[in-house]
Amino acid sequence: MKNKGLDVTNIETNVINRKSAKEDEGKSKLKLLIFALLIITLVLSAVMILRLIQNKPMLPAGESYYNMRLAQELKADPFIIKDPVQNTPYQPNPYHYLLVLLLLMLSPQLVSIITPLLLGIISAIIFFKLLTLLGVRHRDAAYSLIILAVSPAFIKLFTGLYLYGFVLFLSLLIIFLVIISKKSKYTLVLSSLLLLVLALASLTGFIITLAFLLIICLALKRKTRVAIVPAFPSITVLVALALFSIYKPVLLGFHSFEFRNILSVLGADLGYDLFLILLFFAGFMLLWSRNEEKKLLQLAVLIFFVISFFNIVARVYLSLVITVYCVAAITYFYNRKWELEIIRTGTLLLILSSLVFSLTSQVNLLVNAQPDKEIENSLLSLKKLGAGIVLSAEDTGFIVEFYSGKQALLDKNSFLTLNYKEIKNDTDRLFLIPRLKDAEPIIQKYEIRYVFITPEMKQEIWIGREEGLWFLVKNSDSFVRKYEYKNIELWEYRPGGRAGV
Amino acid sequence: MITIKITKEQIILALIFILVLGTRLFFVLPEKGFSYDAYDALRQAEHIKETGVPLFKDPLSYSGRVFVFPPLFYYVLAGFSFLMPLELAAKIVPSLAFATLVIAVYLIAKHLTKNKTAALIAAFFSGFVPIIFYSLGQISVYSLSLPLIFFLSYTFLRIEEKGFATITIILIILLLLTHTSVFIMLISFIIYFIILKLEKQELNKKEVEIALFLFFLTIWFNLLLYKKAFFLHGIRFIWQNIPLPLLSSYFEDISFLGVISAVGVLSLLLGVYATYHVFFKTKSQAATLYISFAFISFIMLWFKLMPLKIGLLFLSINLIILSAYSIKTILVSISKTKTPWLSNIIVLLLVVLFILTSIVPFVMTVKAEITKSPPLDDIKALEWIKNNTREKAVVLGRAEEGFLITYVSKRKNVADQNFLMINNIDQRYRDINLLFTLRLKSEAVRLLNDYKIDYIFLSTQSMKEYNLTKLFYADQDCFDLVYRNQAIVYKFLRCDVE
Repeated sequence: MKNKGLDVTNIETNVINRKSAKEDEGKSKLKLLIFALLIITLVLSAVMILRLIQNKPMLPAGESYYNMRLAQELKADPFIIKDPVQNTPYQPNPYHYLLVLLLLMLSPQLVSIITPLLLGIISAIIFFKLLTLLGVRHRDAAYSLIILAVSPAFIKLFTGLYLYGFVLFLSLLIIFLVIISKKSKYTLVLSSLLLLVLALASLTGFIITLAFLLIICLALKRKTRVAIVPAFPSITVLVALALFSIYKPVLLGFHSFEFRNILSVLGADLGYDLFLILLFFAGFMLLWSRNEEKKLLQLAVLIFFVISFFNIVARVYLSLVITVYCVAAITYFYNRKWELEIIRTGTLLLILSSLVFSLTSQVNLLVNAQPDKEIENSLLSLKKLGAGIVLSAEDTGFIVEFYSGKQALLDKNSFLTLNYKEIKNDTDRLFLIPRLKDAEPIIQKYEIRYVFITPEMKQEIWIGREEGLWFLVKNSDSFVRKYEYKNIELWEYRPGGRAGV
Repeated sequence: MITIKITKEQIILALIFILVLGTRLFFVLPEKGFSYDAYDALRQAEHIKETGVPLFKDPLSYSGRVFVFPPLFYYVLAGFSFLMPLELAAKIVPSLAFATLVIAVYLIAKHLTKNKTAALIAAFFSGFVPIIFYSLGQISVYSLSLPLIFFLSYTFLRIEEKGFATITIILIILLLLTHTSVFIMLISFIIYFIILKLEKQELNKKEVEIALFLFFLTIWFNLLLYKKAFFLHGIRFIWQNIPLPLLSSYFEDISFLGVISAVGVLSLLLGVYATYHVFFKTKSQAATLYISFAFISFIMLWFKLMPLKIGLLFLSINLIILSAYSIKTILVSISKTKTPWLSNIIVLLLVVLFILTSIVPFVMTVKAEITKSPPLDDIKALEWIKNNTREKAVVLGRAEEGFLITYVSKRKNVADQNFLMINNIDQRYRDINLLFTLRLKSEAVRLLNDYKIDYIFLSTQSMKEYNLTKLFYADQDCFDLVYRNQAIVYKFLRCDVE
């Protein structure tokens, strides 16, 4: 009897112990996830805070200004069919409408902070959930988030108003919904709707998402129907839109192979970090040799990796995927039985410092990016001037349009226009022309009224020497200086002399 | 009492070392100057001697620039300059360093073959292979990095033995602080592991670990050092941002005859035979490493990823190491015959054959290198500039003369041969050439104003290069002929031309 009583107590104690061990494990898992998310939040907000401290506008130069400007235009008139500044046909983009929605409730400044930050954090959470659903250990999935926090593409996408950030978020959400849905009609409808939104936002993103869904279904041995069915309505709507409306389906983001487009260390816009690529290769070799069952998945990743050399959208997706392989490599290096302990410590320290290096490089790049207060002020002064087309560098186009409300001859969307090559060649030539009689035909051809010169242009186009167009505007009577402060110059073209200087 | 036993082999090795050093010094010491690019090393060492730090922020190069580089070699030079005059140290240190390569090759070959005779022959070959004399007039950083690389490969192969891991780590760090050529070693390690894997040989765990460490350390260190250059030049960084017109002379096409003349026909044949032997007859992990190394050197030469002479230097030393393997095979085969005495004759024959096949390219290389130092008349003109112009003056010379201008005249140059981190180098290089050949004054004046040039140094070499005796546009209105000897110096009077 006494023994029986003892046994029961032992069993009870064991059960309690196991329960508390499980609870402890659960708690530590949660702690790790929270830690990873905290790091992501910290990194993303650090860029914004540092820009604020430097008294710079919140958003780094680029697409963010285009998206914000259009959202503001749509807020005033939700059914525009023409970009009022660029004077080009406007295809409705769901991302702009999301921003309009937010602008109805919040100030533009707050929208600039909250939107990317929230999208980034939610994307990270969904990515984490997806990884665990795909069989990645909880701990490794959390570590992947930490690696994600230092990957250049992720940092860039979620510290500004970038379309591909939104596309990535939508994709992850769709994949997650499709995987967890078990013949639920509501999730099917929701994922179909989201797929349509995604297709309208980015057709390339839509196709990549479908491809990912198919691969995941095959890897998880699910029926491919699960992925195909929700896509049908969106494809039908897309075809209908293409046939009966102004919507033109375009696959964007393709470019030729160039290291400068791929590696962030060489200045790629949405590129890979060199160390993360190296770790990815190491992790890939490890996982390839370890896991016989998931070779199809590994092969697909490899193919996508190759595609990502030629497509920016694929690179955005792969920036997430490679983190899993990086974690596999780092874990292997950490757990491996090393013969030389000093080399182990050294190698791990090097990996850690390389990750920190990657992080600081990207943050530094974004914090130092234009515009600064001076550019903002100069463009606000341009806003007060009469209407006219502005000639500046292609990179500056969106900022010019955002602040001045005037059309820039070239911006990062210009490549969509039919005569882009012609305009590009002409402007490249114009920048190097020091004589008025040679420059005037081009100026008049594109009805250029203003020339906006930034310090970066002076260095990149004229190597700091007063040459070409810079020389011309300074020495010709046909150009009137409208603004000059801290190396920023604004000139107005007035054929016939300096009347009204 | 500790007694050190000196073996016959050690004496022979010491003699080879002294012979190599002596030969190099015989050619180098009587020379008054150095080749044009050596003057940068002199300036760096001088600055280190004076301030303790290298000239990362150089106020004279390109009229002022910031450039970070691995400084160990210049520290070594500066260190020696405390014992002797800097210009003497600059002649002795590279020669001494190149001579130590003989020891490295001996140790490697001995480890590879376990045969002292083969190792000694290889050491002799490495000391006198024609291509190694290409840098006679230079103060070449390769004189330090090359022995370091081969010592590193040696300790890498003996990593299992006590103490070698620590020495390997020290060598890795020294090498990183010397030059970027460590990348060649790194890629060779990767190829070496791949070959071993393909041949289903077991990888040495410690070797893998060291290679992994080297891999991450090298990339991290160089990324840190050259981050801005990567960003500025992109993939062109590999070609050191060399201006396009100059690129073909740095990264020349590789020709079969060129390889034979530089590497020596005997080393080439024996090296190729060793490769065949290792792949198809016996297996040797150590030899595989040098095959990988030679292979990478060849590939990099082929794809013009490496300057021709440097690539040939790496290729030849690796082939010589592999030659030791072939020589051992030959000697062992002979020792098994009924005429083992023949091996001595074979050794003698090999040495004689090496001398006979190398003598012509050797003499040609030495002759070509010795005539590369700048003429005395040019140096005199630069000394005049130093004594008669204001300190902040900018002196125009050819890019090749940039280091000489800054070292001798202590004045700013418009360009030198350190092209990294310079924006639009092609344009600058083109402008400099234009300034020597232009006939139109207005264009020349515009360029001179753009680069803020005060003096134009028309050296005797520039006169030869551009086939002129004076500048066409230099009239009395805008230019003052302030120095006229064999070389000419013009002062630009800062005039404006409408």
